[in-house]
Amino acid sequence: MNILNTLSILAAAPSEATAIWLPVFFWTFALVSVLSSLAVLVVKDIVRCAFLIMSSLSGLAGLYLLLGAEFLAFTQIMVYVGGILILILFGVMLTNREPLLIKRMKATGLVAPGVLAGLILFTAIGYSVCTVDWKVTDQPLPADADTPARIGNALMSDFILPFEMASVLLLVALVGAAMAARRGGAEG
Amino acid sequence: MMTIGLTHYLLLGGLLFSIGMAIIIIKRNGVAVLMGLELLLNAAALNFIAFSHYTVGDVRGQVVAIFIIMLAAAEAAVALAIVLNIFQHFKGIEVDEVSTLRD
Amino acid sequence: MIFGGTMLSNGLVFARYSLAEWIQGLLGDRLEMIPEWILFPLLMLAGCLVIIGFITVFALFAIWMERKVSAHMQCRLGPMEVGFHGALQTIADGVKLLGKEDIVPRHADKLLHYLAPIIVFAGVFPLFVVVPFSEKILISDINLGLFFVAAVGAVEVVGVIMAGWASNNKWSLFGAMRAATQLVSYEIPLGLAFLTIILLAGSFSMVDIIHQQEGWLSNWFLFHNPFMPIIFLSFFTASLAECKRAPFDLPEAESELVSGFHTEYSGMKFSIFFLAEYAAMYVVCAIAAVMFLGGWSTGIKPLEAWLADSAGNPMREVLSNTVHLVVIVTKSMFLVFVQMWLRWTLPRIRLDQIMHVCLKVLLPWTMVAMVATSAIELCWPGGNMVLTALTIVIWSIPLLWTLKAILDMTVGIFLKFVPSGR
Repeated sequence: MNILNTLSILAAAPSEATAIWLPVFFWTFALVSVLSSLAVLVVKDIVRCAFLIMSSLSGLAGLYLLLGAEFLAFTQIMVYVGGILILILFGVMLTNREPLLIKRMKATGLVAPGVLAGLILFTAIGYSVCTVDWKVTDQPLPADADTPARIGNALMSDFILPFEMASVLLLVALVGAAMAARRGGAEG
Repeated sequence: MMTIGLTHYLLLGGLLFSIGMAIIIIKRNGVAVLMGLELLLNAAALNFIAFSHYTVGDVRGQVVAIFIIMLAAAEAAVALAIVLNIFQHFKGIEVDEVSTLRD
Repeated sequence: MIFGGTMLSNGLVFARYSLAEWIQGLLGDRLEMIPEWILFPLLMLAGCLVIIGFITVFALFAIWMERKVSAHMQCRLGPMEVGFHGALQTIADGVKLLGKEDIVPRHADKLLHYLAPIIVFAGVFPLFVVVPFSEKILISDINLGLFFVAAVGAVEVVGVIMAGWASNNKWSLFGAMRAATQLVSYEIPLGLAFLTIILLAGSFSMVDIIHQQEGWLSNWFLFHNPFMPIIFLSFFTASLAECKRAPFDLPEAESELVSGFHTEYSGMKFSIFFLAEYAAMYVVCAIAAVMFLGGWSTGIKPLEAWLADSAGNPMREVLSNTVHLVVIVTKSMFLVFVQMWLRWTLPRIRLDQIMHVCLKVLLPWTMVAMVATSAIELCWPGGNMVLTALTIVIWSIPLLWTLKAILDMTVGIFLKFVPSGR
């Protein structure tokens, strides 16, 4: 049972499987996130919009995996699905006036300017991205690099001030949101 | 297909950013505008991670992306509290009807 | 390799041991004839099939067990007709559910109604990727295992909310909103419990966490210091809420909300909800066993050392894996039994009571225990025998008291009815 031997033969990287499957995964995740965010533009039902935006952000989490940021990918799933989606759905249901369960948004305005602005923005970004000659490093992080440990070290050394400020900001947001959401608002 | 490089991720980030911007402009529902905002933040985070992976080769970009996710969470909580307040004052959350600072 | 090693160099892979190794061991040299890019999806598919097989077999057993446990707790016999003591009853019921008509309410949101069971299942299914059975019997040892569990565990609730919303039924919607409220309450103590274990083990990986607890029973994290049982109880309570088990089964409270978020589901879609619920029960119990009860470790140091010494001895390796498999499944099944026991003992609590329990009782206690544990870990890295002894002494008092109460209620009552002095 020479397991490790066969493993080392197969584990030689960059391998054939990387070359074939990485683009497949990239295009799948990219299509998921782009198509569902485009659908948000068209769909009228606000709850469907919330689920679509979640699918878009989950596709982004998949892209983070491909970029070797698995910690971020799982954080993305945890924060957006476990936190923000629930918040958004609460927001939708607490601001529901009609007795109907399926809530439709009012007709949208500013369609032409919105589409135009998006197109112009994308053209500008696309032009600048394609014209710049990006300096790609020849030493990317190895696949077995312990990214969570590295992130932890970075947070506790180089980024200690932003980290502490983030904790203060979260506290302020917590208190502020609790105050503002009370019935009657701040003056009540 | 072809090999995936930095440009692909940057273009995808740009595309998502543009879509997010279009959502913010087109939608009138406050909660939907919030969704567009989340998309903007995430497009930026994708760019940071792509740069971190392709041009630097360390985790600093990922740390910035963590701060972005954290900010998005804080922003969503506060914004939804504000949306609730707007709903109580204006009996609706269509952002273009909210045009007065005081009643 | 796909699930282990560095086959995809870009981070799709972050694992060490795997199912893939097993398949390699079985096929040996013949494996090299298959091109790598075909092997990659094939091995993924093999992993999925193994998980689905396990979920199905476990659910069949657990549903039967639940019926038997509830029946015997209520002095009934439960299913007795199909098979030995009704052992095949679940299969019969499954066949019945398969044949049922799939009803979608006319005013339902058809797309979301269709997607909801899929997402619920998709929130539970990936968790099995990191649930270990022995050194060699596991799909993958992701180096972020526990964090993966915490992240993916939240996905199930999305499906529940989707089901409740799409059904266009007020009872379903109430169930969905209850599930959401419950999620924001139990996730915080759950996360703090994960954090404490990560802090003690210095790793997210399930296999690493188990390796930290090998040796004698006293190495289990449950006995690490007097505060750990608090964290265990808090984790177990929160995990009951995560599985939507009684006393936290508000989202489907059948006496209040018909059957909550899955009121409008029938046939196969309903059975997928059911399957996901039972699969989640096993996952949280297996994770509790890994985090606190030493995972597959038997707790007997010489035996562990003898089993681990399998160099050049394939038979002993097989034996070691079998023993570990039996040990961890036994631990998990015991916790599953406790979940069932609680379900048939405790009444359902109200929503505000859940929030009170999670946010005002579990959260402060877990927080205190976590800070104390980190202080202890700072002073005595790797644990301390005195503290372990203290833990066992302190916690044996409530444990023995509980045991006495249980004995009084079972054997005591039984003895009362035994005719005596004839």
